[in-house]
Amino acid sequence: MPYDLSPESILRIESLAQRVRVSPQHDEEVRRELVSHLQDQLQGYLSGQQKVSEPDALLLVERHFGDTAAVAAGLQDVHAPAQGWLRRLAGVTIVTAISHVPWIAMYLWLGSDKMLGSYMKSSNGDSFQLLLLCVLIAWGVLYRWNRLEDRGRAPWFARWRGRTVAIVAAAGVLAYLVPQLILFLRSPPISLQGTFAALHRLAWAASASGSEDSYPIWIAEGVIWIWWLNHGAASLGKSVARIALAIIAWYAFVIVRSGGPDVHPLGPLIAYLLFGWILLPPRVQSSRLAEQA
Amino acid sequence: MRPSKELIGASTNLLVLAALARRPSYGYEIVRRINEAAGGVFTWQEGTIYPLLHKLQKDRLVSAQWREAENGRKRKYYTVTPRGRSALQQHVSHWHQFHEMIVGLTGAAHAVRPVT
Repeated sequence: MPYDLSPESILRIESLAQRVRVSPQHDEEVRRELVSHLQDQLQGYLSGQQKVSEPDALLLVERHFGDTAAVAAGLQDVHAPAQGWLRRLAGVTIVTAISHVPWIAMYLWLGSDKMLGSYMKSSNGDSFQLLLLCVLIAWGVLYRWNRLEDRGRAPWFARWRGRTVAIVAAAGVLAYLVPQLILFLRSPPISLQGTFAALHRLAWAASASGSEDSYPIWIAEGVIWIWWLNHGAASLGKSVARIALAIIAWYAFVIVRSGGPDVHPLGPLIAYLLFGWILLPPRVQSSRLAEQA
Repeated sequence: MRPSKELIGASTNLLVLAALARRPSYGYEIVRRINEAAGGVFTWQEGTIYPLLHKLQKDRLVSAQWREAENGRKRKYYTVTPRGRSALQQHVSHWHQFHEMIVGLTGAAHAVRPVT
C-alpha cells in the first residue's frame, strides 16, 4: 500500500519526479505519472523476496529509474511545439540579431576608422571577414536546428513557450530599432556627448554593419532567411508564401538594423533561385512529416 | 551476449505496443513486463519508457487514461488504439521479413566453404 511509505520517502520521490521538467503545460501531468511510477517501484522493492530497508530501496529506485535529465530531454523532444512559420520567423530574427553582436562590439571598441577604413568609405578586410563570420555563425546555428528537427529532435529554441519566443524576438528587433530612431528622429541631431552618446554610437555601429560595402554578405543573409523559412514547406504554394514572407521580413529587419535600405530586396531571391537550391537545398519533408505520412 | 543499443532502439516501439496489445497497462508495469520477457538479455532503465509512451500517444498509436487501481492509487493506463494495432502488425511483419532475410543470408554464408 502506498500509505506505508514514510513521509521522507514520499518527499524524496516527489523531488526526484520534479527533476523531470518538460514544459509548464506538461509538468504536472508528468510529475503525477512519475510519482506514481516511483512509488510502485519503491513498493516493489520493499515487498520483494529479498528484504531491503526503505532507504536502500530508495537508492535502488533512483539507480534503476535512470538519468532524469535524459528522461526530461526525451519528453521535451516529444512535447516540443511544432515549428510553424511564425516560430521560424522569430527564430531567424533572434539568431540574426544576436549574430551581429560581435561586429557591433568590435565597432564600439575599435571605432569606425579601424573598422571601416576612412569614414564609411570602404570597409577594411578584417571588418568584412568579421561580418562574414557573423553570418556564417547564424547559418551554422540554423543549420544545426534544421538537422535536429529532421531527426525528430527539438532544438532548445523550439522548447521555449510562444510568449517567450515573441518577447525575445521583439527585444532583438527593438535593440536595433530604438537607437536608430533616437539617432534619426531627433532634431536637431544629438551630439556625441552626454546621455545619448552611447546610443548614438550604437546606432552608427548597427547602421555601418549594413553598409553597401558588405553587399554580398547581406545577400547571403537574405538567402539564409529564405532557406530557413522555406525548410519543411509541404507544398509549392506554401513554399512560395514562405519565400515571400522571408524576403519581406528580412528586408524589414535590414531597414530596422541599418536605418535604411542598403540592399535590394530581390537580391537574395535571385541568389537563392540561382544558387540556393544547390548550396542549401530545402527539405520539402522533414522526418516528422514523413512519419505522419 | 547483449544486443547492441541500435538493435534495442529499433525495436522499442514494437516491444511497447506488443506489451500493451495484451491489456492496457501503466509505465511501471510495462517496463517490468518487458524486462521480465527479456530474461536478462537487456534491461531498460525505467525512466526511458516515458518519452516512448508519450511519443506513441502523440502519434495516436496509444491512448491514455487516468484510472484508480485497487490500492487506491491513480495510475495512467495506456491502451493500444486501432491505429496502434495496425502499426504493431506492420512492425511484426517487417521483423519477420528481416529475420528470414538474416537467416537466409547467414545460412548461405555458412554454406560457403574455403577452397582448398
